[in-house]
Amino acid sequence: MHGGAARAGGRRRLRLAALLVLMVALPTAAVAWLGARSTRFERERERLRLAEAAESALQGMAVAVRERLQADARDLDLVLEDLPAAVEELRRIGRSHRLIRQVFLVGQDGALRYPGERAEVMSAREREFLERTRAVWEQGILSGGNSAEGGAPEGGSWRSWVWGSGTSFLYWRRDGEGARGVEVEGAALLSDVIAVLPDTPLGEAGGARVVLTGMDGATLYQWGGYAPAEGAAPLAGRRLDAPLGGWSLSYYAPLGGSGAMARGSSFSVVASVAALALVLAGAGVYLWRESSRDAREALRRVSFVNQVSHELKTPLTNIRLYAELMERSLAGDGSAADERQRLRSKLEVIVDESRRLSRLVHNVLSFARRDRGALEVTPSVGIVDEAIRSLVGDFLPSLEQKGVAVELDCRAPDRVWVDSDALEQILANLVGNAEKYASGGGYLGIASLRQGETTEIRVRDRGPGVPPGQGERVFEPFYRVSNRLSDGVAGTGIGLTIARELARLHGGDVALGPGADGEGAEFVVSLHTPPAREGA
Amino acid sequence: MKILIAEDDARTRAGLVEVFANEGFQTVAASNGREALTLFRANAPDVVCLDVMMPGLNGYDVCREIRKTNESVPVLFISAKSEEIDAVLGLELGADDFIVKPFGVKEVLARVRAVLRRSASAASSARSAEERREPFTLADLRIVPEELRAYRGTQVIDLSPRDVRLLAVFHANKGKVLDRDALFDAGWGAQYLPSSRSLDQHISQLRKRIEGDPRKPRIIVTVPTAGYRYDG
Repeated sequence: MHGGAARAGGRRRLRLAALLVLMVALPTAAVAWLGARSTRFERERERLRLAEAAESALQGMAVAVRERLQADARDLDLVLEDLPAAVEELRRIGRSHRLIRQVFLVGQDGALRYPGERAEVMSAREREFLERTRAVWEQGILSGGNSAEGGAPEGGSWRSWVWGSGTSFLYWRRDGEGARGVEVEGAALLSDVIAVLPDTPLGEAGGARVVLTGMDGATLYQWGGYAPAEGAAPLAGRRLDAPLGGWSLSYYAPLGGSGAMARGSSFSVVASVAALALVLAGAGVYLWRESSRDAREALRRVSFVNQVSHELKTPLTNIRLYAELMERSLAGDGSAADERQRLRSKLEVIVDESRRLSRLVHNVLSFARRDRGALEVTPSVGIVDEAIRSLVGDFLPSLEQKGVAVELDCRAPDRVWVDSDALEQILANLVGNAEKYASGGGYLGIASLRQGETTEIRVRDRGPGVPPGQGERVFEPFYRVSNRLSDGVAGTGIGLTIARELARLHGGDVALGPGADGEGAEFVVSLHTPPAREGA
Repeated sequence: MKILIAEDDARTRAGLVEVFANEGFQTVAASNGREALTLFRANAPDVVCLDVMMPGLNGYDVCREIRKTNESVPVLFISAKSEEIDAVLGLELGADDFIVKPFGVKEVLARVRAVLRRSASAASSARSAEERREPFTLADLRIVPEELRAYRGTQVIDLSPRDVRLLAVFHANKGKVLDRDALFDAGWGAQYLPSSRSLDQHISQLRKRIEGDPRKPRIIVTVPTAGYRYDG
């Protein structure tokens, strides 16, 4: 029958274990998933924030560039206003002004007059100029492209195109005869642009990179400590304003912000998931232990019932066996003296076993009452030493048979208020334990002493004693010190539980004293026993 | 007939020893499982009686060990446990019977006898000559020592080992007077020193069982002051 109960218990434990694992795993997984999502959102938000900042930085840069270019344009305007007539003078301007590569003049019809129309020998520079600008003259500079380049009617106009490995720029103004302009020194323009770009993008040293790209996609200039991966997309990009509309700025930065920030957020997610898992696991372990404790308690109760059954049947067996043996003896001659002695000793066994049986039944009933909270003591006038002697007398035959010498030191002969039955039950359990577990020591000492309203009784043996650390556990119900010797030995595990309970109800306690000489066990019973007045 | 008794409660053990000794069994007693195995190997008992709950090796373990080397010796369990599962387990382990505490003397003796009888048909190990295992006949009574039984026609009579020994010695000394000493030796051996009255009582009780008319005994005849005799 207990096989089935054990199996059902096993299935229950399996289900509970599965439930606990789920209880820990599911919330942890949920939190981890949420954490990962939130981290992604964080990174995305961070990216957007950075992108916004990058764009605004690029915007600032573009504005700075435009303003610089406008300043350059004003410089050029000053020169153009005051153009000399002599070709040699014009050439000189091309050689000396940092922004100007070549001056040109255009007629009303859009055809280039200088250099070109006048038939004097062209310089190499002028010829190269013509080479570079041939396409422009063929298209007609005065027409087309102006509005696209953003030229204002009052200001000059710009035109840019890619030539070779760089970009060429023209800047001109209309005049009475057509137009006058310059080819701008591209390198000077570039260095002007670079001069207005900030040294550190967004103020984050080493955390970003800005790349200035020309019309053909070639990198004109880049700065910043961050090196983007091959083919990485920029966080933000912006074309410069006219006339540098063919140029663009790109802003690169590591996604998700700086490394420290990303690590910080991952770390906090991992830490909180781990903490949650730990807390849940802790709760799970606690529940498991509680449930196990219940299961163990239940098993101990079942085992207790088995133990009680066994304990009851042993004295019953002996009583019946010896009674029948006596019957058979009596059926024989039964007159010889040794026969009488044999009969007497059998009768002693029967009486002793009957007492043992009734002590056990008494204990079990007390335990059941204790379980219900109905255990009580009812003191009346009595003498402690008498109860001790009576109890010892009951145990003497059995103790003698086991070779245990009994030593009494009784110093509580006064009349006091005491529940003698409870006292005998307490002592019966202590002496019974000594008889069961400590008879190997061959000694049992009981000493009593009354001080004021308290009586103290010490029960000492020279057996194996209680192992260190188990001093309190031995008082727990069903608990028996796990010990090879006591496996299979009689005992239900409730003796000390009952003894302590009764003592406490009697205003005292039972405690394990220190083993005298370190060998054996000593139990100290203290009871509240007010003296009884004479005639009470 | 030798019986091994293993029981941890000292009084129960002493009681069982007395019960079987009274019947004429040679008894060997152990107080725990280990001792039971040692004594089993040293004494080769004819029947084993094991308490289940013993410290150290319990009765089930002892039975298992015994069965490893000896499949035929009859084994009985005595136990305070009375659940069906306990009996089934015991029997599955190779025990021949299962007695529950508390038991009566008559019950225990009857079961041991029954178990011995059942195992008598199995091949037996070498026995001492004293045991006289062969069936023999006294007048119209056929005695089968291994079954501890006597048969008269359809009548079946239970015998104790002591009875068997006494009848065997009568049979071996047909026509001769057997004095008290001889009968004590045969029935009780050197173990016991019962009073001579118990011999008379035992003979008287034996007669009650095996004689057709106990008042006019035909098998065991009293020879006044000398002893008893079997004439044939």
